[in-house]
Amino acid sequence: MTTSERDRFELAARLFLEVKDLALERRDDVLERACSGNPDLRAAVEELLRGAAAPSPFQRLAEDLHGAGTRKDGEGETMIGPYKLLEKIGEGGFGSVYMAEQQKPVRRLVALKILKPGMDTAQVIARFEAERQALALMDHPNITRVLDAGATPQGRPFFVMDLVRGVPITEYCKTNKLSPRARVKLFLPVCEAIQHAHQKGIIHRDLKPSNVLVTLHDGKPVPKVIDFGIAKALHGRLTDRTLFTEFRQFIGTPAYMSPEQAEMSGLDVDTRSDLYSLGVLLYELLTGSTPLDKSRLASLPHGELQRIIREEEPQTPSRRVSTSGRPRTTQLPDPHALAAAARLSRQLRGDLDWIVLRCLEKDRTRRYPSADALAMDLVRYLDDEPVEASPPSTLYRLAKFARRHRGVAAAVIGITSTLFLGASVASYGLFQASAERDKAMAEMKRANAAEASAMSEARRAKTVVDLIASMFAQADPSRSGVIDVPVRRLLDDFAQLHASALEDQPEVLATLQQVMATAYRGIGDVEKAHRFAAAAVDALRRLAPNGSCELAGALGALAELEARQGRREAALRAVEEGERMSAAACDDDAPERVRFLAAYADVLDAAGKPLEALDRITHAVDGARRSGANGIALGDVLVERANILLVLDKIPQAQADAVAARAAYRTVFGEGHPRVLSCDELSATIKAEAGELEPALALVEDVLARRIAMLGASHPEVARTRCNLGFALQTLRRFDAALEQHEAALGVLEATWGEGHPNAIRVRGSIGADLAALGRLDEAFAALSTAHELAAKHLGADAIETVQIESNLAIAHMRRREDAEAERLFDHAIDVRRRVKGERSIALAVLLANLASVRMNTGHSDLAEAGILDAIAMIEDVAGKDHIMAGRFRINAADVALRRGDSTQAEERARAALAIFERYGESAAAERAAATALLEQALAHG
Amino acid sequence: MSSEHERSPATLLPQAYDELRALAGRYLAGERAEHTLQPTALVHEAWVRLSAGHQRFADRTHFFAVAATAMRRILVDHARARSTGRRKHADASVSVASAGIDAGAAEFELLELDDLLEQLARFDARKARMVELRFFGGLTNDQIAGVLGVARSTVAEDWIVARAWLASRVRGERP
Repeated sequence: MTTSERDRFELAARLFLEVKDLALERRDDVLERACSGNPDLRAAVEELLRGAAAPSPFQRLAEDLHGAGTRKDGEGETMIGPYKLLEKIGEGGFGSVYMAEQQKPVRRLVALKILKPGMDTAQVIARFEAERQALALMDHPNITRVLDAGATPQGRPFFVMDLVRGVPITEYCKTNKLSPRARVKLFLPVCEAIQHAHQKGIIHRDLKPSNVLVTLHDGKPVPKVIDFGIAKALHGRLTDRTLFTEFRQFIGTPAYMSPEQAEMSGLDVDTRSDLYSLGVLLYELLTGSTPLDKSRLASLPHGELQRIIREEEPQTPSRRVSTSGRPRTTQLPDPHALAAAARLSRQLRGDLDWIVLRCLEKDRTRRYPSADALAMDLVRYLDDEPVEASPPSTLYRLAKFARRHRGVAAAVIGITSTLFLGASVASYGLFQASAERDKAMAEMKRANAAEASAMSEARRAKTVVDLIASMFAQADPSRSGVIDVPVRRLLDDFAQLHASALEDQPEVLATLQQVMATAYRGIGDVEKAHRFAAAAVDALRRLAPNGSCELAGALGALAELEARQGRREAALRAVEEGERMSAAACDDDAPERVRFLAAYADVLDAAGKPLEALDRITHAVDGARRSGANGIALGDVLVERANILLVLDKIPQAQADAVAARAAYRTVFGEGHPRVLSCDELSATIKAEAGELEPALALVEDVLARRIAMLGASHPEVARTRCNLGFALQTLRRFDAALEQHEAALGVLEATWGEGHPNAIRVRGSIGADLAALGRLDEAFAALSTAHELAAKHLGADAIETVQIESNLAIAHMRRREDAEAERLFDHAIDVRRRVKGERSIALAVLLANLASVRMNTGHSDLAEAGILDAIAMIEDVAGKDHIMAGRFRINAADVALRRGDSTQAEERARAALAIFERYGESAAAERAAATALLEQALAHG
Repeated sequence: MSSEHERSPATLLPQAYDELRALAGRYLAGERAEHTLQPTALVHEAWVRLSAGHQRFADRTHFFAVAATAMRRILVDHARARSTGRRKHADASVSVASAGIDAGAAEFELLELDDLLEQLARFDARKARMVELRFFGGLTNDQIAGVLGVARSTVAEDWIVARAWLASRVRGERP
């Protein structure tokens, strides 16, 4: 046989074609004849026949290459209008999507969606048309556009869209190894696209990576949301529902589907369902996996699938990253991979965790209300501003935790109050949330072990936490920094709502009242805070007539509020009763005890008993140290003590506490945390008080820069630092710069807390002082009058803030030569200061000196001289002989002496003043000039 | 037997190859996803792009014929690199097969098909070419007839034979 292989195959092929359709016997006959003496040929034909009987080879490959079922033997090209169908690229319930080539007017590739044959009932056509209209409504750079629409001659409707050629967003990020921040940036336009769709009344309902494709536009990645194939118009529900029951489709993709969508009730899916899917998508972008494992979901029966989507809580993204990085085998872990996972986990921890989890809330009312709101929070994250997401979720989770572990409930009560105690502190930064959370979780664990298990406690915890969560779901004033009026309205609404609902649960009511008190205090509404604090005390008294540790705490909080409003006696009564109770009912050195002692000290300080305050706060500090309290608790009491020491002008001790507090916070929060910065600010204030003006200024400027870098310019925390910087600048007599800082601060504070907030009032007062010093007297007077009115109204006439403003207002009156009014105000201010802050202080000395000046003006030079000499003695006593104020007062004293005609004494006083100013260098140039002028006058007269 | 359409594949192939490679790399990087364009779709895409720029291809069928070869080469190279674990870094940008095609099994099928087509080409080049055009270019029987300069019925018969032959030689399904 010399037949070449080639020839033999050709022959075999021909024979094969001839016999393949013959009946078996006929086939054998033919082959027998044709292949006689050529067994190779026979074998080749038999082989082909076996092949023809076998399943079609490379079927899957063909499908992969061409798309299932699109290309049958002999199928020709299909034209629809000017579009040539090329490949099927997708299939929905009632339509198929093809890649098509548009021939005219321009040649380009498009996506063409056409109703499937046999689906053309009037109802389906209407639905199809609705989708086209919905898509046509949308005009967004990140959504596919509808280009054209029409119907085939047979009446099958179709529409034509942009063909998006891109990779799924997850793949794009992975391939390009984008950082979490870059991923979030790429995700933002997706939120915008969905927001746009929602505004047009369209819900996507199938958001997942393969429907969010990234294409490159001039080298820049642009995400495009595609496939509104199962999108649902918000209107026209009737057809919708019918369709879904008719086709019994599981609409959506399980891993990305919201719980309510998984329920498949068909009616109850709204825009918030897309928010959930966006959350899943973001989760996957950040961690590389979906919250609920895809392959696990795929293997579940339908009912179980729904249950898991409805119930199973996802891990936080940071946790997912750190656990998935861990090797599952016994092999040694790759240290690089572990380090990378740890690094990524750190980047996600906190804000991104909370943002994602808020999207993934099972209860849609707890999700972001809109895609825009999600985008805004992500922008805040990118701008390093505090995000909105965390607290409601945390509380909500605690509530859910409490529901699952009833024994833990007692501790949850404690947690809610700690959280809100935290919120009442004006400085509340974004890192703290996680610290509080950790603390809360630790407390829960402890309580869990203790197995306290009263059902009523569980209900109490649940109710409290649920109510609070529902209330604060939208806004938390202490960290948003941008929310103003709504917070107050929220609180007011809630205050009305809960009282009636909780009559039968007095414990819950009492806890809530305490929370409300701290919340109102946080937004500066001392009066309302007081009302709730008093109500809480009453309620707790009824519950425990013989007193309790909790009641003692409530009394402490109430007393602080009384003191703030200048009601010194009431404050002292409350705090003394609380002390008896706290000492008896609270464990020694327990956190509640330490907290109470701090409140006690605060009240004593405000009541002008700084030495007693120092005694109490020192007990608190010792207690915190002994019990090994965490850095936060210790830091808090140290800061309080530093403030009290500052009042007592014990500068070095105050400085030591500020430094110790800084170290305590730093162990918990790390460098750069707002609380650490607050300690630096306190140090600066102490330095300023000590007369170290330039170092103080430099320190505050540094803190301000770091705060702005972290929080952005319009955060209340930044505003507070501006106040302190303004104070330092004032002390340095750089009033124009001080004014600038104060005005910036006022804008933020008023927008955030309202004009009645103590800090806002205080800054307004400082602005008045700056203006006065700059000689802009009318403006100064206006600012100070307003500030004084607000202070008297919101803080009380005898509050220390009111008195400070009053002093400055008095100076303004003095400058306007309204001496009587000036004198009246100075008298009142001096009286209150003496009562509240004690007999001797720098501030009191300044007031005395000013009053003396008024008396000079009114011709009472004897009184004036006595006053100024008193002031000098006082300042030397409390601040040392070289304090700059001692110098300034001596100028006045020299002036008095000169007017009296005693040029010798005038010369002596002027020289003493000059000697002091020499120590201050350039910063006392103005003072030096004034003193020199007086000295020359004195010498001239002498 | 070459018709004028098949005149100069040698010079055009590199161009089609580059274009397809670029497209494939850009659009199909990464793993298999639920929503992708298939390789044949890429061929259409490449055609639209190339023909818009310059008219060096006589017509689209001609181009498809050339592109089918290029596509086959891209896919097979990639599958080979992946399946042997010898994928070089430079290839990472062209993870083509992984996009439209299920990773392991499909790669295996792809390599096997390539292997069988090489065998087939040794004794029946036309049938091998026909399969190539069909699988990798996505051409219809009419188009293949045009490219190869044969009757449409011949294409249909060739396909029946080629399919039978491939089925008889295929080593069978992989799990």
